[in-house]
Amino acid sequence: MAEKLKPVDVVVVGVGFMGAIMAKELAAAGLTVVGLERGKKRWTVPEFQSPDIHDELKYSIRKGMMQDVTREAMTFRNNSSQEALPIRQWQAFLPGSDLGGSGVHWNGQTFRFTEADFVWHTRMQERYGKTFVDRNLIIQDWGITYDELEPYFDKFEYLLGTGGKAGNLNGKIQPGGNPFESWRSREYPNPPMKEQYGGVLFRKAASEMGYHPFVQPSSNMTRPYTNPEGLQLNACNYCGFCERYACEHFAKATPQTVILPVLLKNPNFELRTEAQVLRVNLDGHKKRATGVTYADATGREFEQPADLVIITTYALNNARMMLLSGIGKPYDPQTGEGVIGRNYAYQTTGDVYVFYDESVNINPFMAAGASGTLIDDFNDDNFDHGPHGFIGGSYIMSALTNGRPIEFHPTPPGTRDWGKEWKAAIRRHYNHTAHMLIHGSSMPTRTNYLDLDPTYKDAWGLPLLRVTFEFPDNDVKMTQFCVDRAVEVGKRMGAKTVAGYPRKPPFTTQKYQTTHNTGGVIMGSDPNTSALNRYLQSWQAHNVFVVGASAYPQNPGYNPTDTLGALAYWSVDAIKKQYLKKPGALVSA
Amino acid sequence: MKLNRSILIGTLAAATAGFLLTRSFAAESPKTLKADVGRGAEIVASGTDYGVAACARCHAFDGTADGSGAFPKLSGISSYYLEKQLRDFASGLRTDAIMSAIARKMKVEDIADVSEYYAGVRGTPTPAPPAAQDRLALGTRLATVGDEEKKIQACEGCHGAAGRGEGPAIPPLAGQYSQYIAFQMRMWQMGYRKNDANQQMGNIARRLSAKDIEAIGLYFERLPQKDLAKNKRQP
Repeated sequence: MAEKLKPVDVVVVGVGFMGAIMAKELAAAGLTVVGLERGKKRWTVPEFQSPDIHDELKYSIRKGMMQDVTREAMTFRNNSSQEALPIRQWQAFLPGSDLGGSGVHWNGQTFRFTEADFVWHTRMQERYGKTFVDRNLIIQDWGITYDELEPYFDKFEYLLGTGGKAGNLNGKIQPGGNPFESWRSREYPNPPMKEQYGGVLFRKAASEMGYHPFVQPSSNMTRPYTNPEGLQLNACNYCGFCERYACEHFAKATPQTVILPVLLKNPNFELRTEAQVLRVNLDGHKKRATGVTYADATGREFEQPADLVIITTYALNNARMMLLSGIGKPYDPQTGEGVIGRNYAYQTTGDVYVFYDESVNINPFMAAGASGTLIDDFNDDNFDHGPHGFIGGSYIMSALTNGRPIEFHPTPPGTRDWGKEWKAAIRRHYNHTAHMLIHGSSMPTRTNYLDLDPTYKDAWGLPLLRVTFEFPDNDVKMTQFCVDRAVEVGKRMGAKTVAGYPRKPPFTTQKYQTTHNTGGVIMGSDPNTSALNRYLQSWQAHNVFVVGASAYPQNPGYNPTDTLGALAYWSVDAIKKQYLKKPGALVSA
Repeated sequence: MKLNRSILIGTLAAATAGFLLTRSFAAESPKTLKADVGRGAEIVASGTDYGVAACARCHAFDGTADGSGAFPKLSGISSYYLEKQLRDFASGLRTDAIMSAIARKMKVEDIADVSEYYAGVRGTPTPAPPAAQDRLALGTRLATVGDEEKKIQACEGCHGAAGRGEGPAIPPLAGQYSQYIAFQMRMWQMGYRKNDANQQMGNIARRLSAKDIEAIGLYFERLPQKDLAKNKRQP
């Protein structure tokens, strides 16, 4: 029997980036807030200091910062006819754990989604006609527009201290920035990052081909920065240990550097770590949450009553929490009905390697998580898809985030992958290989979805999340097209050999691609096809808000975090300005 | 005011590099000349007839300087770093009452030659000054772990384990005179020195107290100098 605790106004499930933002805003508004974090506390000092933090075996290979699969895994299958099996080691994607969540090990790549992205369904029909889009795709509009979100993008980027060059200031295209981006109301808070040598070569080739290269917007600090919360960050020194690692230099925008210290100083807020939330509790009518039940590190169960429940546990875990709690009807791929688990999407990525002779030194180790030079010409709806027969796109970016010895072994096609020949090839190519990331969109289908696994359970006896996913034909075509374009740029870069690797089915959990899982608890304007309204409020239980990339109806070709932060600020603004005054549904169904 | 000035400097650097608002690693590396160590040794010993003072007068032939702590040890520091400092003294990016005047008289090849010379010499160990236990403990903590409240990362995160440096760009601190380290930290702190990448050192130094700075110097002076030059020439 769970011990019942003193009620609070708000319980936040998961204290990562979004949890910290939501908790900070609500505690500052005078509400009592409890943050429940399944992992442990950790800070830049002492936990993230070197030499330990540069332990590649511990963090990159053994995934030292990720969700513990021995306690809480997920199962995976490519289609409904297969039996899903548990993922025993994170490879394809890396859900973070502990205080700060995945916000600690992210790379800092900070892209806004575009005006077209938020009205994707409408835009595709308007531009390409009603029959152009593959019928198996279930793309939707978000129920919100870019213009509504712009102030919140701005707020989040200034919180992060993002470095970049605006490409579109209030509708005016700016030289040096991304001409395809949607308008922004002011410049980035910091200048762009330094360009890597591979980026210089890429910029030259891409410019000659008539494309529009720019430096990737980055939340690795390009100079010392004090954010609007009054927190000071230091400049990045390009050590090449961002993704999968924590920053030792206070130079990457993470919950620890941009918001948590402010949150923890507020007496209205209480952080409880090693608190594993088992479910959100509902009242008898299942229309209102009464709080949550969680287990502490010893397994003892507690019931934490609260008037407002905010779920911020990472996209996939958000879907699982809704399913475990019975909030929202589970999606059924047979009938197409139900809302929790639908529109699950991923990211369709590819790689191109550009092999130079030994006179060109790329110095891959001089890198930051978000250093990179890219073109957006073949992303999103930035080009005419009519002749190509697919929707969506990819950015093409010359980027090396590291030259770490265990992971970075570029060898040209045809090289033996073991033994003396392999070792000699690595020595030969290590410092003379540029890389392009082809980072593309992922469209939802009727058959890709999330539900609870019928067989496998976690350490608390609860069913694991089951992921059913295969790359849709649309995305396979899209990524092949974008990789082909990147190979052309690579050849122009003056290399001896250019090797392109488009993503091909079947999707495998055994190869790293990206942690950008989206959907499952999507936002929208119709309660029959979305789990949340435009304020990330549950259609079913008005005092449950679900903040995560789980809200995305489909995943564009940009990294998801910036849009996520904007949505969090948008949502918490609606809670503060509308919901607290009159608790209830903010949009009538 | 300070911010505006740094933006201006950044923009100028970008324009020089030829990329509007884009800076690259490649564009910033100084061109390295083929250095002549023998000629470097001559300048170290005798200076030049156009007014460059003999380096050894203050820094000694083996780079250990005179033990006063007023002049830094130069042994074991990369030629890249020494060269950059001399160029910065010459250009005014870094200023020093003595060095600025000397560096301005040096030709580009003089700078390359003496830098190559000092990068290759083996220094002589010097006795560490006495230090109180609590002061050393503070220095050790700041240098190896950092400080969460002050948002300072461990010095050794960049300056290498045991202060051995992360060559060629980041200098070793092990064995350096604490008085010299403290003086430079004060220069960073007060904004008189700012010739590093991304204003890193000034930003850190401004958050340190006088006691912190002294403690960090004492910690590093007690560490053995990296034996980088072990098999190299001795003067």
